[in-house]
Amino acid sequence: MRQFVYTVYLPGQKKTVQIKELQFSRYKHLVKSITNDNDNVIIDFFDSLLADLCSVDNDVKTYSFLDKLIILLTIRLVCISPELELTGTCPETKNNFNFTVKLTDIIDKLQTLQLPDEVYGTTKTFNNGDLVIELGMPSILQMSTVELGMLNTVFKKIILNGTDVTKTREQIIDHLPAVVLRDIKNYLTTFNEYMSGIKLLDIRSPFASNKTVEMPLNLFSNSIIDFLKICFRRNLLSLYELEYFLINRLNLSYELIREVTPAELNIYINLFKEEKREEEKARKSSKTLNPLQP
Amino acid sequence: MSENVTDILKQLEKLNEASGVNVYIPSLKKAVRFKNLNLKQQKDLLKSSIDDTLTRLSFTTKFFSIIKENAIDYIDASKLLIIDRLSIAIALRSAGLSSVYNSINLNDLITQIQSTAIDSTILKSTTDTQGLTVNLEAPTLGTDNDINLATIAKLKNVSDRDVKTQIGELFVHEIVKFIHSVTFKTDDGEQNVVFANLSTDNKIAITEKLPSTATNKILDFIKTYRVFENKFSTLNDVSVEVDSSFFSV
Repeated sequence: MRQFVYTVYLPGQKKTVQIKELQFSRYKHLVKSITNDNDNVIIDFFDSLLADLCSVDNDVKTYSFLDKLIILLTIRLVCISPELELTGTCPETKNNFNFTVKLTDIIDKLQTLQLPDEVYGTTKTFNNGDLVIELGMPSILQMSTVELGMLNTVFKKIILNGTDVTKTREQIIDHLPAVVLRDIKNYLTTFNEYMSGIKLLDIRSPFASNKTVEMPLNLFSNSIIDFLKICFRRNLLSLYELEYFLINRLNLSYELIREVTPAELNIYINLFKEEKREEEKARKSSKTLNPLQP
Repeated sequence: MSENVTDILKQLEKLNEASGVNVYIPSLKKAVRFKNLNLKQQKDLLKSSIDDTLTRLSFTTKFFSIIKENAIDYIDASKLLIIDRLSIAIALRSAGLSSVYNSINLNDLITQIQSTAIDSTILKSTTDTQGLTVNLEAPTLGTDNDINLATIAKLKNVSDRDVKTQIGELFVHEIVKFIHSVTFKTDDGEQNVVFANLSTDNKIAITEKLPSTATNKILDFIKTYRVFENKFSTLNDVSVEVDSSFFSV
């Protein structure tokens, strides 16, 4: 049976991709990883999630970090909830305040950044064209975790003596002339100049109108992975309570619970709440209609 | 590794050779062709700054390997001098990465190196003290590498915080590099000990027994040699520090 899929446009790939649903059981594992708070493990988890949920495209691991971020936020929006409820601290008064962010706004922003083509990718030629290298946005969600290893993630295409040898990238990168490092640095500098001004969150404080709570789109810090953690974090115990409630009160089978999305489980809970409200209403009205009722 | 990848690596090897650079070797008084650095070599050099911030020994041993790997024309790298290493490093940096480093035009420095005369008295000297003759010689890259490897092995067991021990070991190892032979006067005549025939531990044991007057004269020789060596990395009184940071971009 063909699974339900939804789609999202990726500006880096310049195409629309199909995404499968995030099942509750997988989400629970993600929440466990986030609770454990090891960034390397969390990044690996997100990468495997992308590989599995976008399996129609085998190249998803080479997608830019921006495309990956758009996919993950879309998964969050469709399979969990379209809004993000957060608490911020006013930079001036230090007072806490609650706010809600619509994920569609962030996704729209990332899809329409209007970045110049040179930020999405650039082509460099060496030895009179014997070696042509296409550099593009890094495909990892956080640069600092891999140090010099991150260099490999900006190579998008390698053409040697007219032949595309990109598939052997992992084996041949170390043998490329060191001069490519200078071009990588220049590309990353340009890339960072454009990216540094973009903010994932930019919320005005209700306590000081000229102050904002911000989260930059900075690949060279923890900001992207931190933002993703915020998006997918949930109290782990509440997930067990939810499972307990769904099995014991709603008599849902565990198979059903693990296969549907967290958003669908919310629908069941809302239906249950609605049913209870109706029952309560009916009970109250039957009391009112009974003249013998004291 | 598939045949396909092997073929691609061969093509890259040819490409690196074709884009090679002629490097003037001061001790040979001629140019030798070298392949440019590849990405792995550059990454290794950059990583060496993390390995040892105090001693720079990893950098020099890694760069010695690069000299051996990248020479296209035949040379005996172990017979080259430290001034040759400077010339090679500057030429590879200029051709492969950028000819400008800290506002210094490295091509101007390369031109200067080619016209810097080598006075043989700076490369060799003899000191006589209390019946002890020490023949001194500017270390070859082979000697430099051997002693550096021994130093790295020794310092591996010394805590990073124990700077005193680190400096002490570096000091004696540095002196050992410059001693070619030691001649003692004995009752039967003279005994000549050629350092090349000794293990590093024995070289150090003898060096540590030398009287301070002899050590001071050795240090004078090293000092003079270092001043000469600096000519190969200094342009208009601005010195270039040839270490791992020199290869950052």
